[in-house]
Amino acid sequence: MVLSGANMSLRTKLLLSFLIPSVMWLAVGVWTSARMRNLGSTVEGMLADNERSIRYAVEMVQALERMDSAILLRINGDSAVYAAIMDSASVAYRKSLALAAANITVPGERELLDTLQQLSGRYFFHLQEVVGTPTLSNYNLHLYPTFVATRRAISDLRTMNTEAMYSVAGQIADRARRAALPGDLLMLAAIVFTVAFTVLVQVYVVKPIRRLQNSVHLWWKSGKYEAAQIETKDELQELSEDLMRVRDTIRGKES
Amino acid sequence: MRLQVAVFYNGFALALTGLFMLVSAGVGVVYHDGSAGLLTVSGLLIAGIGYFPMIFIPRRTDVRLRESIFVVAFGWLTCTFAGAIPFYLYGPPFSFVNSIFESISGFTTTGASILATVEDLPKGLLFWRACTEWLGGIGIVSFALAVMPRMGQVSRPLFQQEYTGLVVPPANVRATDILRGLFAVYLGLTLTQTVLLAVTGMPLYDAATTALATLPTGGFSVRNASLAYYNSVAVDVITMVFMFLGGMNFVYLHVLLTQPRKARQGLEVAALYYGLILAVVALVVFLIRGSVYTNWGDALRFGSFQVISVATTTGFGTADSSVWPIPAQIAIVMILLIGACNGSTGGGIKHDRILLFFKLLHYRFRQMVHPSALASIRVDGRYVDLDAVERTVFYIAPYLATLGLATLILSCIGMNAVDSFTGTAACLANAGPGMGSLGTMENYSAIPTAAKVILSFVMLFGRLEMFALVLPFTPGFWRK
Repeated sequence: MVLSGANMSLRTKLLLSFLIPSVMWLAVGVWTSARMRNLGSTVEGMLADNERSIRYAVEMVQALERMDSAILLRINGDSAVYAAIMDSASVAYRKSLALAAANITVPGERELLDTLQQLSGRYFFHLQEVVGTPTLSNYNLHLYPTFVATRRAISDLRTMNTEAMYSVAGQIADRARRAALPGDLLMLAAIVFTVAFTVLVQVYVVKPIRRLQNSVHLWWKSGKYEAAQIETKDELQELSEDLMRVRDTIRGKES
Repeated sequence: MRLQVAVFYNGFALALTGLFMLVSAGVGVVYHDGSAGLLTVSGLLIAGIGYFPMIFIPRRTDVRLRESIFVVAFGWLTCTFAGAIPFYLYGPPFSFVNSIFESISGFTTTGASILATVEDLPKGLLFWRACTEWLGGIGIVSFALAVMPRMGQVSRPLFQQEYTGLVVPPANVRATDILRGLFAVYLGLTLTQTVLLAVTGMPLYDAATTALATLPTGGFSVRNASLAYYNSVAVDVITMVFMFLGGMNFVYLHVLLTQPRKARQGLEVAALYYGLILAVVALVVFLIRGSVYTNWGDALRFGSFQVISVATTTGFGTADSSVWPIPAQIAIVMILLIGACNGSTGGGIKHDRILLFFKLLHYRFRQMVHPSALASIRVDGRYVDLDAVERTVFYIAPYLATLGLATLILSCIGMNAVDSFTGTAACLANAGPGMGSLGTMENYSAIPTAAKVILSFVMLFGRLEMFALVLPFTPGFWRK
């Protein structure tokens, strides 16, 4: 019966004593390695996504501010410079907004980008109004408040992704800790196994050998042989029985 | 105290726990849900740690009483902690405390969960969660004994630490045979329920996990809305029948199935169990008809399911009893405190003790009125030793003291009165859902971490009926 080691041979017992920890180490090693590799690629992906969103937000703010400067130049009557700046800035803004909208990684980011797209639409609408009637009062009345609101929304997008990066860092720490748990357990198990193996071998292998040794010594000195008490049914039990048979044979010859 | 005895039997219990994790890993492989790896690693670790000492330590069959108490207490603690490893490895929402809470809740067949949404979890992990209830239901140490060959006389003392009650295994029958019989009944009923649920159209995975959680009166469901998700009368009826069976004394159930003529012992407790459940069902149905449900059919269906679920300390839900009339809620909490029968997989004070308590009360009243009269306490026509009666009934006092103390601590932590009381009562009785924000359709995810720790101990206290868990930690236990 394989269930209990009492009937196993010493060879099997010793083999299993090394085989079991080896299988455990192998399983934990493979799993931890796979988990760490997976963790690395996940982290890389998550951080890259957040970093992209932050970059798009920075580019949008820069483009928005350039458009704002351009419209102020238009109000001042500098139409040529206005056209040059506005063309490049509006293209850059729309491109960054489209890229940001396609890179949703954080819960709530979709809603924020919807708001940002609405604000941007409103901003471009008021921009056209000011271009048609380039007065400072027209700018202050509609365009500037929309500009501020849009910039705030972009800033929120940037904050959201920055916070998400910190959150990812926290998650990485937690995941790494969890991935390391089997390893920690195994380290603990290694100590326990070493102590347990030493104690078990001492109690169930070394001590019975000593008992057999004492019985043989006693036999040698006094001529009396008393069977050593062996709990396990392994080679030591067989040796004890063999010694009994030897004793019986010798007694038979003597008598 | 021979520590090698405890190490050997706990090792075997741990190895079995690991084996069930590996089976759950198989489910993870089938559904390809990413849980196979963590369950395999956990299973190999636990099984390896458990089996290692068994290589050298020879099996002993002469287990003494103190050793048996220690084996059971130590076995439950190690298995519940080992059972938490796959949850912790999975990650959020399982923090360290949440993992331990979920594992203890499973092994003690409480069914209280920290999961706000169950369906997000991989199927392999949910299968393991259901397995904890199945293993805990039969008693992890008893289960180990049932499957271990040639156990001889060791079974009885170990088995009696996990199964107590008026119905004890007949002296002329070997405890090992009784255990194997119980195991066969347990396994047979679980398989039967799985098949019956699958026949109703429930997916096989759902049917198996529901069956694994029904007979142990556990109550973990793989659906966020518990059994209300299926909205099927057939599922409700099948589950009610098996919850009811799970709440009965398994020794009585075994004798009833194998030697029906000898099933007289235990009749009074069984009658009280049936009677009380019927009475509360009638009361609750009467109270919710009109105020919650417009017709008698729905009131009977949902009312009886909820009462049986709570009375057997299972905790499945098909309706939110927290919104039912207050008298109905009070009736449900009262039957929750009483719980199931001794020797069942359910918790609570147990019907055996309630029966003996009232018999003792009657006996004491008679003695007051007729001090010289020769009176005795009889159960099923047989005399019961007064000392044994008082020993059995005595459990009610520490039970209520624990209920009061834990309620007080939870309210100090900041939980409201309803949640503190019903949460403690539900965990102590190993039922799971309480009332208020811990009701049938709610969960324990929002309660403070300290409360989860307290309730984890309360669940273990309830399952091991306190003494087995407390005694090894008293100095007297270790004195020669």
